[in-house]
Amino acid sequence: MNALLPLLFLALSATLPAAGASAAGALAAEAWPMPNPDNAQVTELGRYRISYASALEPIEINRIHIWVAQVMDADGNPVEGATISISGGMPDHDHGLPTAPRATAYLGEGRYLIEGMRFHMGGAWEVVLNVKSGTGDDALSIPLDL
Amino acid sequence: MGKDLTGLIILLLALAGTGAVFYLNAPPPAPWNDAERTAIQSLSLDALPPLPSDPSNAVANHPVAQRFGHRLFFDARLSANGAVSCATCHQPALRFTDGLPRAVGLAVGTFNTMSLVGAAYSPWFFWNGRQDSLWAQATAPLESPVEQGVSRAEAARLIAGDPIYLTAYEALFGPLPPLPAEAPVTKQEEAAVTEAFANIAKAIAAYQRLLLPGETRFDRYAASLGRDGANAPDVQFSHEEAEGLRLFIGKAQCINCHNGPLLTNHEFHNTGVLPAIGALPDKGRAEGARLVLEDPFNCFSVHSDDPAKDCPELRFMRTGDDLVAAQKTPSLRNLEGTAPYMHAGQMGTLAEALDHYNRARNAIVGHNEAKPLGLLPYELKRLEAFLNTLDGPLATAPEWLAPP
Repeated sequence: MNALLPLLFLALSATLPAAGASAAGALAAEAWPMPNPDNAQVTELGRYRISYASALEPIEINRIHIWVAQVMDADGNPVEGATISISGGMPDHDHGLPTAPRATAYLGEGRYLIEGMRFHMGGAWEVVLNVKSGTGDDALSIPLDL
Repeated sequence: MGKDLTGLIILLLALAGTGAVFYLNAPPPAPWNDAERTAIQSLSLDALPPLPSDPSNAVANHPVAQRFGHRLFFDARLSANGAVSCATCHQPALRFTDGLPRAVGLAVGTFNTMSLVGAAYSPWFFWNGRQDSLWAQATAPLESPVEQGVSRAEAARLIAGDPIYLTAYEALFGPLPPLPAEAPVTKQEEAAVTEAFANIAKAIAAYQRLLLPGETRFDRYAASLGRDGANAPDVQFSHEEAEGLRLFIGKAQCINCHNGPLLTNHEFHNTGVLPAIGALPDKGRAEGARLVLEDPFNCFSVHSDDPAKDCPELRFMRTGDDLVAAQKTPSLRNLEGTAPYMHAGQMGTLAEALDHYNRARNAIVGHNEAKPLGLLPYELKRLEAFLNTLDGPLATAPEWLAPP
């Protein structure tokens, strides 16, 4: 079964060109940033615990990069099949993100690949990860000071 | 009563005198704190990363392509009237701009000519970002009826008919396909001509990648700031310039968009700049984002040499009507010689541009992202003094700055 997994991945890559290209093109799998679950934060309504890691650490302005977010339920079980959407902006400047980042692949163990992150100003930012799954809708607001 | 008035006059004179003494004996700028020094050095050329690779252009760094592109850049045969080259609008002596409000090629264009210096660092090209690589950008003026106005087939035929060009072309890209004598008719002819045209643009881009900003007085000042935030005494930077820099990174909020070592975030902002007199308001990035997705030379296209076609900037590009009238943040390096300013050259001087941001009037289309600054005239002068420290010679060998 284990031997079949790479084949399955290839087959999926072939049928999902966007996700396949992103996963292969952005970074090799071993280079994906690994969120530390010990740093997980509880979402607004308490439904999920989310930890995240950025491939650009520390985050610099004006560079497009990827994040990985790990989503667990309140009991600490990985949440699979969730729909993650990303919003946010600079609350003091009344504008949103300069890009339209998206969750492009599920990496297993509750981890989701988020591509297209970029910040174009120094200062206080807020990144909002919105999670939809069978457990319900919830969101985590992540403040960043760049 | 008279005594009271005399007393008042003496008091006023004393106050004015004290003010004058303070003004004339203005202290040297206070040493910068850690956050200020970090902000200042983030704008310095020392913080400029190496030129990013361009996987969409296989000859981006090829010496043969650089020399070929150099010739093409200055070659007016690449125009409908034989009199307009890339260098007509991108003049080396004017930091690769033309000193005009709006570009003049075969006719007067719509936009102010953007400098090419450091352009290779940007993910987007033109004021509205309607193309996404330096080489895709180079295709547009060639074909534009108000700029050079050559067809793809005419450009390819120029290569075929010039032995120096043909040798360079074939060394880089392989044999030039047979070209139709007239406009291409079949799909095959069309594809061959378009491929050759894209390759010509890739060689021009290889040359343009060499046009890079050089060290300025500001960069020397930033590099000299020691751990205590004081500058080395041998670096010339006046009190007025330093105070202008303090405003730039602070109260005037310039650094919000004019950030990083090129003093641009390569993004698009609506700052309420009025259209050129007699022109309709430009749709800006709202239109640019739509056009770049349709561009036959974009990162997704068959002409991109990147086999992965990863194209993160294009895939995760923001689109939508709220980007209406947003124009690309230009670099503030080498402002001397690049006037007039703004997307249609609406402002002739830096003082006008600073006044525009200081007032931040309502935009006539969309909303002005800038807020009124309330700066006093002496502060605007300080800002202008600082901006003038951002001029320097290009970090490009002189032979590239003249026709071959």
